[in-house]
Amino acid sequence: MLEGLSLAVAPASLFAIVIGVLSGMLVGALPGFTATMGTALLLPLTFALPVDQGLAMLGGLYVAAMFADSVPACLVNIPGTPSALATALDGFPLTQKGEGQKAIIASSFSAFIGTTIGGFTFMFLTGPLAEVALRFGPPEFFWVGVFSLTIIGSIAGDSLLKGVAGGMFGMLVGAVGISATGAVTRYTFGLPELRGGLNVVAALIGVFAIPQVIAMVSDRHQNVTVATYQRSHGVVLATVKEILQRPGNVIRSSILGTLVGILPGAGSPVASPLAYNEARRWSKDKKRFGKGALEGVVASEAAGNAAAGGAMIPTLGLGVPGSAPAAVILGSLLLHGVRPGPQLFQTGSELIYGFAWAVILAGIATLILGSILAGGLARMITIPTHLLAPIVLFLSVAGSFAVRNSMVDVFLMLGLGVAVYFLAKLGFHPGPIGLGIILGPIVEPALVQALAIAQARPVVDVFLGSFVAKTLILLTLASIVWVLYSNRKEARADLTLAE
Amino acid sequence: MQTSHSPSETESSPPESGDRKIPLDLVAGLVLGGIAAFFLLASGEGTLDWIFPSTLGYGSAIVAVVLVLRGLLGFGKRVPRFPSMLSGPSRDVAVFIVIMAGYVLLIRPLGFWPASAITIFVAAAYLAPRRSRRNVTIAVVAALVVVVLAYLLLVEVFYVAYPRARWLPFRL
Repeated sequence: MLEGLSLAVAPASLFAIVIGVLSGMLVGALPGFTATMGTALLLPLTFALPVDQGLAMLGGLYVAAMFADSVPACLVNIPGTPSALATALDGFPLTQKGEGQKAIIASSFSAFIGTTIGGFTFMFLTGPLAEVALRFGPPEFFWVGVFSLTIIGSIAGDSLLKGVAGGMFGMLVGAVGISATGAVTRYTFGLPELRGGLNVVAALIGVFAIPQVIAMVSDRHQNVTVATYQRSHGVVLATVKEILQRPGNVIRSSILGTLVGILPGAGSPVASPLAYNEARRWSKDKKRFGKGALEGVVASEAAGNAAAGGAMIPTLGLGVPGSAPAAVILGSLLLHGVRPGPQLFQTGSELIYGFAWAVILAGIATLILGSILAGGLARMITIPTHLLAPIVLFLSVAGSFAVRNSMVDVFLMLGLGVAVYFLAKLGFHPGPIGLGIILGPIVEPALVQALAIAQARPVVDVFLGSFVAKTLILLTLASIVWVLYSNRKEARADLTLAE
Repeated sequence: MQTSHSPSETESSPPESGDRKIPLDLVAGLVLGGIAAFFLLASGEGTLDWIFPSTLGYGSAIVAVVLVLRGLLGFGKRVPRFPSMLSGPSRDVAVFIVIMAGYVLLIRPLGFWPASAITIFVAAAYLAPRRSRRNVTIAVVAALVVVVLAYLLLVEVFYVAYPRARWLPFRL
């Protein structure tokens, strides 16, 4: 472990980490540009570097990108990546209250805590946790997805029924294209361009950015800017202190994020909303969520960044990528002639520990840079809306195109965005729609694979056979009951107040 | 996004005579029903390929029926039956949607960067609080600065190949 630390703090490694972090912040902050794209772009640069420095650079980019996606989420309600969806739910309302700088600082500090816990978990518990990951098969992933869908109860706004409908609509949108079995094309109407389906990142830009832009246009006479910027001294320490007054939230979220991160294919997009949901469930004042509750931002960011550390566990421990950026990092290892797997922890342990330390150091760098840049970034919201709206529109189109170099993604993004704007007028909150788009491609393949397995075994045995599946089902039922109970309790409290 | 707030589920108001408002849930239910019908009618056959979207379609249809019934029974908020699209914010929204549509349609013939610059300028000039030379100048400068910075970052750093402006004598 100490040899790994000495590798990570070597000047060349530190320089590589800084390059990675700066690149990650740039990539993560641009809507449509993901950590996956950033790691893929930076990968060729690592060929000329020793493997430990190349890994440090990629790890730094991954960590910084997972934080930086919260910047557009908080400032203009555009999640930079799927994992920032939950951050936007409370980050943007904070900005509207003039606390955008506080939201970004909270994101960076929570990202640091999450990265640190994820990094140390990766360092010490890869062996046992990799065994846990092996216990998750298609039925278990299906139940993880179903459990994640209960989050809709927390983000549905005033109407749970419309929230459920929104989630179903999001999953239907995600079903466009080739089916999970690959046998048929769905809802393409003969257009070959639709066979690729709707890219998740472009869809999320459509669901959140375009309605926000249209809302800016509609409200610009009342709101000349998105929000006001209030310069406040000591905001960094005050924010950190406020977060540390509720340590349970950030620690619980980090642990949850790490555990979800070890499941290949789940990762930050599932971890962040789950942690947000739990933060709301355990909060004493649930009504603040969705209106600028700092705990929501903290939970989402801590979990999202912890999941990055968790994703390294199956990647390096089993040779199975835990997430898309982890797959690129795995590719980098293979290109350098390093074979991930259990034996790597015996033959190349200093490399593993060096990478873990590099990830933790990247978290520290992200915290420092994020805190320094928060004020300047938050000032951007003082740009008048008559200028900001066209600029955000341009960035949305540019980002949607950049995902797959396809104009189809741009057309679908805009169409979906306009549709969601009008659906929001009818009471359908964009949050559940976005969640459905993210979770649909996770839930359906797992369901289809489980049903395929069920052709050789009893269905009940497949879906309810394992201890993990039964635990997840119980958690799902408990979550549903809790959502219904707390909604009913809030409705009764509202009625009492009205009387 | 803070465009609207869904009504409390317990709120209800009986329609008054001559009231030109319609229950929001009724409209929401009808729209959702239309979406569900669209996806169900476009569904195919085959258990593994269609079980997921079909289930979602039927689920959406059930929710749509519930919303329609809620609306017919008078629960929920009421909204104007025929909202004006020709004045105030509604007109601006309609014009902006047209600008968005024009933008994406112009990308192929004009090229991504010229189309982007034109769109930012036109939208910023239209949305400006007052029509003045100053605001038009700001719109021009904003369009050029944003497009140039974005070009340097997205093309020169990230190597994204946006649709080219083939009508220009140089590569853009």
